[in-house]
Amino acid sequence: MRVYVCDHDTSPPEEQLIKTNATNILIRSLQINKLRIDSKDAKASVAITKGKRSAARPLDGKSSAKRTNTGATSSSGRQEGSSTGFSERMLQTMTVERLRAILKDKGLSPKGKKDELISRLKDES
Amino acid sequence: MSFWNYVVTAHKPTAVSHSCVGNFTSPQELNLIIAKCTRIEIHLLSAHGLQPMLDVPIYGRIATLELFRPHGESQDLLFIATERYKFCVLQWDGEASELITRAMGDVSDRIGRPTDNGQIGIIDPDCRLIGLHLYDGLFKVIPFDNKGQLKEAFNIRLEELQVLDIKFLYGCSKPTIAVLYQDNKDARHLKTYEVALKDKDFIEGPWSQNNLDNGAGLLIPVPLPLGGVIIIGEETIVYCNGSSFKAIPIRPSITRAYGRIDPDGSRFLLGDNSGLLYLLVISHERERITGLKIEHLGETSVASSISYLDNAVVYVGSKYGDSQLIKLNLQPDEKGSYVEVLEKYVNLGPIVDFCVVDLERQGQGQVVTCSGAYKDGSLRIVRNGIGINEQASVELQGIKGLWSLRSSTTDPNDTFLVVSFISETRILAMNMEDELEETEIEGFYAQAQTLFCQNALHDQLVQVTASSVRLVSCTSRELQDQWIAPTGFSVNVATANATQVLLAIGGGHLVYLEIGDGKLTEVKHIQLEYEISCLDINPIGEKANSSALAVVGMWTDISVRIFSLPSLDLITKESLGGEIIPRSVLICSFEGISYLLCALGDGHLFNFLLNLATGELSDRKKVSLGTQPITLRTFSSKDTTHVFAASDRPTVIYSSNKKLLYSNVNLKEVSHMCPFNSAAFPDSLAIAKEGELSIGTIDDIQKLHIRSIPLGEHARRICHQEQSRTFAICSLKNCLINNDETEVHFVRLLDDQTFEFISTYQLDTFEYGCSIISCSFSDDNNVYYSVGTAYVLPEENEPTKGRILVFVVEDGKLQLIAEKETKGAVYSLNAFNGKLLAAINQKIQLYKLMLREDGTRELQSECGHHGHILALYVQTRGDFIVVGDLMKSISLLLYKHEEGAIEERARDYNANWMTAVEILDDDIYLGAENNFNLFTVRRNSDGATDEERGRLEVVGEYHLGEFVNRFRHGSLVMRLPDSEAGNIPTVIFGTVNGVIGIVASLPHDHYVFLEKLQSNLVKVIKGVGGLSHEQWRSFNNEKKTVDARNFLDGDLIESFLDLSRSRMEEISKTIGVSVEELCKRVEELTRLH
Repeated sequence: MRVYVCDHDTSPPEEQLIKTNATNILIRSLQINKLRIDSKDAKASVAITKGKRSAARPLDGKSSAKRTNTGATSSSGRQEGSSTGFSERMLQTMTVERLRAILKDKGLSPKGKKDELISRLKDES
Repeated sequence: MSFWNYVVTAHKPTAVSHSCVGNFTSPQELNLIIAKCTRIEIHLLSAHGLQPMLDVPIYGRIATLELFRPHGESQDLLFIATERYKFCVLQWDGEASELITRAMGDVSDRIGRPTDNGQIGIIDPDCRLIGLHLYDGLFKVIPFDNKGQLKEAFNIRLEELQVLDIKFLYGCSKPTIAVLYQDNKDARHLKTYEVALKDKDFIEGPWSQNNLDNGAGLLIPVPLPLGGVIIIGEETIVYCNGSSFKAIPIRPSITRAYGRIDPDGSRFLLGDNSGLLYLLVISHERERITGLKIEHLGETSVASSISYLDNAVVYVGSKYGDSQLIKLNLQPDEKGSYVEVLEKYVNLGPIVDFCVVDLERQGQGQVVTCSGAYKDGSLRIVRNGIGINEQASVELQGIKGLWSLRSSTTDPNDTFLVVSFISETRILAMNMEDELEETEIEGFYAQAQTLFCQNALHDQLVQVTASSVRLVSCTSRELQDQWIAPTGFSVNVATANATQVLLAIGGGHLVYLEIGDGKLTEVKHIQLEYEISCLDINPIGEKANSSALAVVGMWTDISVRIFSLPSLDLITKESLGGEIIPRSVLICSFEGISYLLCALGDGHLFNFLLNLATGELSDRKKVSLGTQPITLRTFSSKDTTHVFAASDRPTVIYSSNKKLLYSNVNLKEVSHMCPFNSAAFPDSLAIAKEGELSIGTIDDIQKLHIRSIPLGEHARRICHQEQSRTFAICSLKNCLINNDETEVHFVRLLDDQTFEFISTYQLDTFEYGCSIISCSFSDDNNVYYSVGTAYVLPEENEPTKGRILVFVVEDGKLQLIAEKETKGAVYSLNAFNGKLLAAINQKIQLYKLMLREDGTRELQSECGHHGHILALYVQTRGDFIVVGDLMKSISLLLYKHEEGAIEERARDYNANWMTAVEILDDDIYLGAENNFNLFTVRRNSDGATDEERGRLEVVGEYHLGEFVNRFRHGSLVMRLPDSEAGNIPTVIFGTVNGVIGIVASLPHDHYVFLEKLQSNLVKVIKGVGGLSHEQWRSFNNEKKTVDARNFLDGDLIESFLDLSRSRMEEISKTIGVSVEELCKRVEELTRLH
């Protein structure tokens, strides 16, 4: 078999020398996670009737896929709205962990039982 | 040796890791592309089968290989990613026959833990992106734009850390991957993700499948109309696509490779770890799956890749055995197998161990490797030489001479083959069916041995027998004239050309005849003082049909004499010295230079430069070609003349750069040879060997020839014992014991000629053979085989028990004469000062063999040395011991006789994980480590401080790109004293991918010259796909990357010879050395292997 000896220039076309996006993957992932969490909250506010998380999950993916099309500005806007308007019923559907995260975001103490957390949130709003 | 080393591949990698099929070289042509570690091979599927096109070296170890076709392209592009995180996209330019780099890049990340389960590289079936999984928790995406150009890559965080496989799904509106992973409870699940290119993130995919088979390891995406994915487990095969799910149980096996048969994905071929081939059929009604079926087809080599070509022909690439081209038949054969092997492609990988031996005692090393794994295990005998491709052969005993004759002077082809026996002469001729058939030439005398025959001028033939010279017409085949030996004398030796005949008859008479039209004339007759042993009047002078010189070899005074023709005046007399008579002389001309070759009865050959005008001889040289009398004959191949020296070690003598070269022919004993250029067998040779006459063509270059000895079991260690003419191997085999498959380990004795098992010693259960050597002990004349073993118990991390077994070979049987239990695995054994040096786990231990009072023998421990993690590889030289540690690089120990102790002298403080070590000379040691690098260290015995003396200084570093399992001193070529290459010391290495390579230590000036050549070659010979040579050869492991030093890349340097003349001149100009000189020096290097 003929052995290939490559004596022509093999550098790729200029724009085809591929590099990797230098944004730190962790930072970007955190940003995206934050966006997702927030949009989950927003979704949770819509899907109040949903009881079990497992059932909500596949829908979750689809709704966030839709969100990507609407662009960043609208989602951030929704984020603003979502952080203020929690009804008590909505808060009741949330897990303790979610509540604690929200409390932390607002700079409140995340300690105590679920009822205490809800009341603290209600007091705040 | 020195630390200026030259590394070159003698046998390229043969283990196949990937293969794929597509239209690469043209939209109409179907190609098979095969990856063999650092090379890709492009083959073309044609009506005549698989045609090799191109062998492309890649500056990297190929991690993934994929063909794909972006939108708007008429032919496929090739995506290659290397293990050192480079990728390139290649396109074939049919007009220039060149590989063009469409894109390339570096896909490494500064942080990230390399994946444990190998790198994954996949391309979206709709060509929207390339996906790479190189580091745990990261998925790299290289998106395509809508013109098929690549864009900036980005990473996506992948939550699954233990990924087993990732594949793109077919027919998804967004690019979707299926990820097979293992969670932290060791359960395996499948998850899908959509890749959102704008967001640079994953979106939870449409479906997932939890709790799969615990052995699930392979995903097969199914094309449309079905879509979805097949998950191959060890006990089940599952199809799922989110909406439907189908599972079938299978016979427990680990599937290693799959190949898709139909473009719609309704049939797949699966190859498992024991080499069984299965057909997986997915039956479906439109888009709904109705059933899965698996069927056993037959057995192949253990497959690493399966590519379905066309018409039921399949390429099976293997890492553990020979790769194969198979045909799937519609009907099973008598053994129930649907698989028919069409072709086998030799694979030496993995070379686990090898030894260098000279079985035929010819001064040329050959390598015997332990190759292949499991059922494909074999021994391979690798030998350099010129091959004869046998085309036909017949059994014929007692051939005394062989000549070919043309039917007329003008006929370009040979028709007759004259075969002479002790009391008769037979004539073979090609008949109408191109078969060799016995015939007659009426004018020839058939009842006596023919001494010589020849086509003569005027359409005549000459036959010389002991009693007469007969001149026969070609056309009538009748006797024209005859010269009869004087009464009381018989012709002993004869030679002739088209116009002249020279005869030696008893009593030292030399008779010269000339051939006329229908007439033989005695022109001259002289008497010499001794008997004549050989003659030659081969015409190489100005006249094509007659010679002005006659060469005569003499008995008694052992001389060659040159006489002028026709006067028979003595011109030159050259005494050869010694007592062995010349048996064959030949005047020949190579590259315009005339030589006289004179072969002796003991296998030696003299060569002289011959001045045709004056008949003077000069430049006398002597080489040894064998041990038996040599017969010299010329033949031509590709319009150049070569000389065939028939003997117990047949050799072809040729010339290159005005130097005579000798090349082994891959045949055992050859008694006679003549060129036989017939219409049916063009450019062939007729060869008489032990009881056989064969016709074959000859290779035009010398190369490595490989003989396979399939063992059906996995050989792990080999050594040769000269005295008993045997090999001993440590091997293992999977045997069924009580319906349980268990590994059984053996020590086996093989005959070194027939390679048959002649004796076997079975080791205990769980006992592995780890090392074997042939050695002798002081105060003992026997030669022994010593075997080191380890008890590998499933519950232990490191073996804590082993044995050293000492065998003697008696009557072809292995007799155990001593046995010693050790506290660990005996990783290495060495004969050391009449004692046995063993490496046992973290310890080096020296044993002596003692004779007990009852006459039995016993191994007694003498002294030892602690201080290693695992002492895996040990080499010794004099009193020095060089140890290659599992992870602590190389250390140097010294044995002190007086104190009977071993102590450490120096060590390399780098943390290299060793795979092999060798001692180059007293001060320089060569090591290979598990990131595919080579390095040399030097002992600093002149250091000023203890600290300096205790440090082995790293002097050379190089990335080989191959995992070396063994170094051995030796050479694959014949070392002739008059060649420069003969004085360069070499070490041979063998690797996992079947590479046999050479490390040669060069003198410093030679090294400097070649280094300059290499740096200029790098500028001319570019890396395929834009990969850089400098980066490729830089020493690289987890800790550091540094440029190669004190090693030269012989593969690059030798590709100088493949460059076009203009490129050569370009280089020659920059270096300031003529092209001829450069070629000469590089060609000398090629003769190292």
